Amino acid sequence: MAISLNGIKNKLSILADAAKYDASCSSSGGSRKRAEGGLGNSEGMGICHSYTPDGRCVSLLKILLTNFCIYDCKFCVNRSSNDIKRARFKPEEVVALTMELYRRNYIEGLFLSSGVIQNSDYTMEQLIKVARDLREIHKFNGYIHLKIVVGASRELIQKAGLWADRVSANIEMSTQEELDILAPGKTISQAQSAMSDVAEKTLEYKEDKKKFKSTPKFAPAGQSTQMVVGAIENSDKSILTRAENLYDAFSLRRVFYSAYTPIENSYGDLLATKTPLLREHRLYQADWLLRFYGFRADELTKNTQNLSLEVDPKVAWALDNRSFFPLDINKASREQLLRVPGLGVRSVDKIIQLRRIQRLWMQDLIRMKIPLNKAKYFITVHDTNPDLSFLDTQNFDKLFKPKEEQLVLI
Amino acid sequence: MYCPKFDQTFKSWLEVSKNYLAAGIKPEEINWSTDIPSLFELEVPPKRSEFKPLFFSSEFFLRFEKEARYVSMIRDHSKWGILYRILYRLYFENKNLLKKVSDPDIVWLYRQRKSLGRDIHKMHAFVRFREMQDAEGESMYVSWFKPEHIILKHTADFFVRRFGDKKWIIATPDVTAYWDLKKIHFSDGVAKDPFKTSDAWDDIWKTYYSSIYNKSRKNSKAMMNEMPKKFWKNLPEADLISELLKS
Repeated sequence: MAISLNGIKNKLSILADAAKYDASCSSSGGSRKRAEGGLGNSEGMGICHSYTPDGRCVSLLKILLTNFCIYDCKFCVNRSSNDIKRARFKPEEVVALTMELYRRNYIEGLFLSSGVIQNSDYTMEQLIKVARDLREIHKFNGYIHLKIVVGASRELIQKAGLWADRVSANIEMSTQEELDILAPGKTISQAQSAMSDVAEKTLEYKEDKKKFKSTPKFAPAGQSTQMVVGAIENSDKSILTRAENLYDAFSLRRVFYSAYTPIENSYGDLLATKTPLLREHRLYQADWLLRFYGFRADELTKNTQNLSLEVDPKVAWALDNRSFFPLDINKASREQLLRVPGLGVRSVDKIIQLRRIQRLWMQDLIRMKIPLNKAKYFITVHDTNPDLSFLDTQNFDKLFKPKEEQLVLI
Repeated sequence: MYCPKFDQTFKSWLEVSKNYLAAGIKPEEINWSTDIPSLFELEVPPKRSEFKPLFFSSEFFLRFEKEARYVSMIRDHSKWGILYRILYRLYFENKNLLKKVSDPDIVWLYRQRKSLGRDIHKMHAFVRFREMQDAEGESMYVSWFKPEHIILKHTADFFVRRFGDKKWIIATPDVTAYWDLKKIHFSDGVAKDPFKTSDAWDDIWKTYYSSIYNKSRKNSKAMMNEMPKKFWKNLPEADLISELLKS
């Protein structure tokens, strides 16, 4: 291979650094068998091959093809007016990096994104070329996540979905007003139109697959998107409502939330303070409740614009809806049990499994190691539960709120 | 006290256990430990007349067999005794025992399964191959890894499915696996990394690792939870961690 390792290394340090604000590193949901004589497969479960000291999983080689960009989005480190080092990979360099790191079991595959050069279609074609070379020339069947460049033609979006396991078009902000201030030239409707193209093609290929077995898979790991949180005043209510709309309308697999970090030479429109990571964490918790726990965004932000930082969104909902409790562990439905603070999907499923053959006593919950520190205030069991008496007391809320100094530490 | 002679494999444990069960021998009458020599090695008594061998083809038993075969990969030697106790209770006490997820033996069973699942997952994640030339000058990829449990025979297939187009070796303290492009060969384990070879791409990986780290989000606790120090000796990037945390 006529590729200089030192050349690659210099570009890598620039183009990985530029890619780290994209939060997604998920590699789950793919399903490809290794090709005869080829490298790599994908078995559905994502694997984190390392963790960086920010606690984030390193699963994919996450890089930009280039950090040159015609856009000047104020929250973005790669904006055209920012005075930073720029670089651009050749497609064969990205192929070599992906193949060689994968071969050594460092990664599950590639997450390739890019600044926009010339125009959306041209940039999208460059990304597609890398994915196609990996699949066709190098018989690579590891995981590939391709960024959809918003504004790219429907035809190119279709090609991207055929080579990639996952695609994602970033919506960036929850409302057009925010985009107008921070990302001149970008629109919510354009991003949604890309998502809609992906959703449509996914359905189309699924239908064809029923008729012709040889129909290829279209983005088998689905599509995702990302919103920047806290670059400008925007409420959790607006963010979660947007996320819910996207899940409903385009069957998104994930919405990622990226807490804004002030970048050097910030603009006047931007909030100068770093978004607390705790806020981002609460949004992910709420997002989880939307996807797996049957909550709706307007329930979680009924009396407030922003999620509580003090308690998690499920506790906050429970404190506002005390009359919903107590729930009888032996009788409540799965949907009801999923609303008990502290009970996760797995705990609820264990409870349901056991109660098919016997009544549940407190001792059963303890033995199954169901986390009870929060749940115990909200449930009845076959014997008595002394902690239930707190539910109707005046200072019930206080049981869940952290002490002052703990909050500061987070 | 009965002291079964078996070769520490699941297959031979199962064979012995089926005989003991058929004879109605209680769990507390068996010493599965190999290190305590017994003066009185009792012969296994004949099958009890009321024992129904059909049990061994029932779905209750087959489900148990599947769980037990998997869980037998854990390193803890007490597993043989507990697995026999579960088998015994399954036959004499409750055919639905495996569904009693609050029963202490069943809690144990599923906890071991979880611990194995995690160990297998971490092995898939943290095995790192280095390139070297074999005797014929062909590229092959070598690795040494120390899993918590005895899982290489189970995980080797994963590496074939993924990396089967090249020869590779994975050595562990218990057993070594060699893939020759057609077949996996298992041989003795090696206590320490036997491969004195470095790989130029490790350096590229370190560049990636330090560039993708976002220092404004420092959270070493979350990192340590998922990647405890016991794995670090396998990972070239671990050398960078203390430096990155200072920056």
